[in-house]
Amino acid sequence: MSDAGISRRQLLAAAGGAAVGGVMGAGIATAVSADDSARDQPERIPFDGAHQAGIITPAQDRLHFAAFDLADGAGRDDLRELLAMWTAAARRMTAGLPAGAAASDPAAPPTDTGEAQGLPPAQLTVTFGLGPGLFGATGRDRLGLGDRRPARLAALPALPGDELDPDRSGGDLCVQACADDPQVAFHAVRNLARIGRGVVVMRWSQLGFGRTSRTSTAQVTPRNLMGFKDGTNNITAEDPKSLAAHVWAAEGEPAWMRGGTYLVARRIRMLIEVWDRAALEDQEKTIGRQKGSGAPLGSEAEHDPLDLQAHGADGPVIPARAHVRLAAPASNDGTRILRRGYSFTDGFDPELGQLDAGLFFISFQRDPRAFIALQNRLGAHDALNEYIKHVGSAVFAVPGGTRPGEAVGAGLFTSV
Amino acid sequence: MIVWMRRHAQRLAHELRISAASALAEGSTIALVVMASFAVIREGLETAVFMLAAFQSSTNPTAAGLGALLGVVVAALIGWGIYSGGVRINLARFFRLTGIVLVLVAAGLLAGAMHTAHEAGWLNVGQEQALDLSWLVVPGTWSASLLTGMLGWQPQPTVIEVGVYVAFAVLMIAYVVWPRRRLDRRVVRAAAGASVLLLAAVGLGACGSQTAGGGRTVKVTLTDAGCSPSQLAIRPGPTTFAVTNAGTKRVSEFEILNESRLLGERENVVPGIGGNFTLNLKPGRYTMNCPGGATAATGALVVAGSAPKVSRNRQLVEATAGYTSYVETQAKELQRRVRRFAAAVESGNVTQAEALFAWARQPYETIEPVAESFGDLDPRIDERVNDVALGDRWTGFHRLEQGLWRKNSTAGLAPYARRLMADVDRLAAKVRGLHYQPEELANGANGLLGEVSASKITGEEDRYSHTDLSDFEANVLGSQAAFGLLAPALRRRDPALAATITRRFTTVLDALEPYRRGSGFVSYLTVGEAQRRRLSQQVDALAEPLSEVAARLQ
Repeated sequence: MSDAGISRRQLLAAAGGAAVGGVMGAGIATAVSADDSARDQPERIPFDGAHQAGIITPAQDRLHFAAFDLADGAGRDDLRELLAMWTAAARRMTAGLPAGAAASDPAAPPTDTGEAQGLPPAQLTVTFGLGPGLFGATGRDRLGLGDRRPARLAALPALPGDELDPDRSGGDLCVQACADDPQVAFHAVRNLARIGRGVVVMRWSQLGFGRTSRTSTAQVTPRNLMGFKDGTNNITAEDPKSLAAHVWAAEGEPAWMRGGTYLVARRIRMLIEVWDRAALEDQEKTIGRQKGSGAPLGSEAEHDPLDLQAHGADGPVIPARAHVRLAAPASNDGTRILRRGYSFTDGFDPELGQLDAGLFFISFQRDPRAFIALQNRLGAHDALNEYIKHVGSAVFAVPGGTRPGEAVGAGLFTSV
Repeated sequence: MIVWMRRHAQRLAHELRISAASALAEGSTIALVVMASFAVIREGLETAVFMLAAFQSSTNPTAAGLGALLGVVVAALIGWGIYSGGVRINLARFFRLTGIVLVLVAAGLLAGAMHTAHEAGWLNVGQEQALDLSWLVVPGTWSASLLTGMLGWQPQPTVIEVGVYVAFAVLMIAYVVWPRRRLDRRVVRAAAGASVLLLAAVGLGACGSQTAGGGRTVKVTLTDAGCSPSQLAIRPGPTTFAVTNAGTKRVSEFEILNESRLLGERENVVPGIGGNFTLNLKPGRYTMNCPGGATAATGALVVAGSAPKVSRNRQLVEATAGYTSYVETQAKELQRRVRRFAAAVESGNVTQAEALFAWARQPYETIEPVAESFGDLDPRIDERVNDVALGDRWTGFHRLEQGLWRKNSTAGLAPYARRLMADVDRLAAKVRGLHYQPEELANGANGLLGEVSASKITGEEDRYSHTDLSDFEANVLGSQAAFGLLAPALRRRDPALAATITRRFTTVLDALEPYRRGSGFVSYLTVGEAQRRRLSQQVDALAEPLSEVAARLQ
């Protein structure tokens, strides 16, 4: 922390960090805290580290995600300044401080909008990503950054089952704010949007009200809006080998992507009314797991391995088109991704008179092609497609972590 | 002039008496008539010209005519009185009395000169409020017009104005009144000395209290709910609370208390009759009381921060003076345009009225925040149907707009057109010579963009005519004008911010160009969702840095 004195809370956080020093020694910056239900865990997640926080940080309860486009006329210097200002504000807000360092002047609008005043940091993490448009991958290379584009960053191709709304897709930059308090997450995005006004315009935004995955073995597997446990076989923070193999950017990426990754976001609308009319047996066969325990069909416990070979009297125990079978690494040449999605609802779809709800899917992977291959398969064959629609889509390169005082993506602007 | 009168009063009286006597003695009544006519005719012509001007800007010609008539009758009565007792009137004493009145008039002119000198940036000491005469000089009343117009008494004169006024008046009245024979040099010297001392004291006082803060005005409106606003945050220093009644019968009193101690209050505030009082508040928390209010009978007043510096640099003084004339010009243009629009409505010409509607509104939209500061005027002129309070009558531009576009007729609209014209005239009268603080310019510029975001982008403003883009442009132009006046001062303090704002004004105005058609704009209905969003985001991008301007000017 470059600013402000050390508060009691920060001391606590530091103590918490020290307690899990072993994990940090393994190269994972984020403190992995105690049991999911424990409320005495440190509420502050350090902003700086080898990787940006909010990826392998134990998934917080709430999400506010926003995608931005570069405003007309904004240039390279504007982008660099924006990332510096955003980083500084995010670093402060994740520490439970107001977004602006300056004291408020009665004649000026407050430097912080104020709604998080008095609230704890609530494990706020702010994760920044850069979209392909910034590098001219989707049009004119406005910033002259074309030669700095990470090779793996490109707009996602059309995938089977896509019913994308352009107003909920794409974006030149993204901000993922996660916290245990929805107001803290909202506050972060609101203040960053405000700081960015004139340089970026918001393209779309999504609130998520409940996590649908676990990113730490210490966390209980949550349920998604279909009522099933989701993320049982996710990559977790305690598995550095899998993280290195599947999540963190590969060797040969630009220096500013070291410790970085790629983020894919998909707004998956659930046809809740249809799903709710499906028989329990059909629901379980669609997913490939038991609804109550979360155990794979034919097994006893949630964490039992998937037995894709098992056959019953009338075919495979886990049906050929079951979601878990098609998504399993074994069915995808070992491809794995780190999922970190959230359940969402935007209320009501007045056109159809139905609930507008579903899964805001977020995944982190070393190469977006891992997601493309997976979704190519799922979109074409998954039994679940009968109940879901992919309506939004975006991909971003997530730069590596920062040292104190350093701006996210600063390396992007240093001369090669 | 006063000195001359003093020296010649007796001789003048003497000569008048002699010439009148000789005229009568020679039996030539015609000579007397001619002499009197020449003495009076110039004044008469002047009065007639003044009357004409007064009639033209009057909102109520009948009342104005009646007033003029009464004045003539009174003058005639006085004339008759003088005539009947004229032989015995002591003209020397008469001239001495008028001399005193003249001294007061001259003192008022001098105080006015102090005010103008401050506006020009030549005089920056003693600008604190010295007195609160608002109980006597109630703005908007006839007595105030008389006291301000003749004697130069302001509701809240500054220290320097009062000092100069009193010093001049004391010295000169002493000179005029003192019996001539006993007026020796010692007396003159003593009077002059006293005046100089008085001036010096005022000057010192002004210097001493200069950092204490300048008189600033906080507007409080009484509504059915109670105090509006019910939460106030201000900085320390002398503050005038201008209390007006927004039309409530439940609430007629406004008080400020510290704990339970009454610091200041204004009672009997009814619609049309507002009132002011001034307090020099120190940092702390105070309570505002509006007894009888439904939901906001009490409110909080927080005084915090450091007192503002009074003396403004020259650029800011020029900026505010420039804004005064900008607002006056726009108000005059509004009168001109509304007159044509109203005439079209009254003559039943729907096509022409529709063609003039957006054009007539534009000057109003450039100075809307100023108009909004006059309580009921903005609602009367510009209220939208969904903003009309229960039991109130809906009037103004949008009432006419609804009639023209919804019914495609001017039937029944003439009274609304006349009332709009009258309200616009009132507005023009009120903004004349109005003074602004630099922060008001900055916040006004900001407020105008807020108007764009809140009701123009959404297409709610001109919901029948869909001429929202015309209002949009006017709001931005008004904002740009206010900012343009502040720009020289801002450039010295924060050139980067000034450059950004200047550039973004251009961006926003350029973005409007594709929609221009003829003298107006395309119907807002034809502007698609994505285009609206783009406009909205460009306004936001401009408004964000603009909101920083007020603080940078301190």
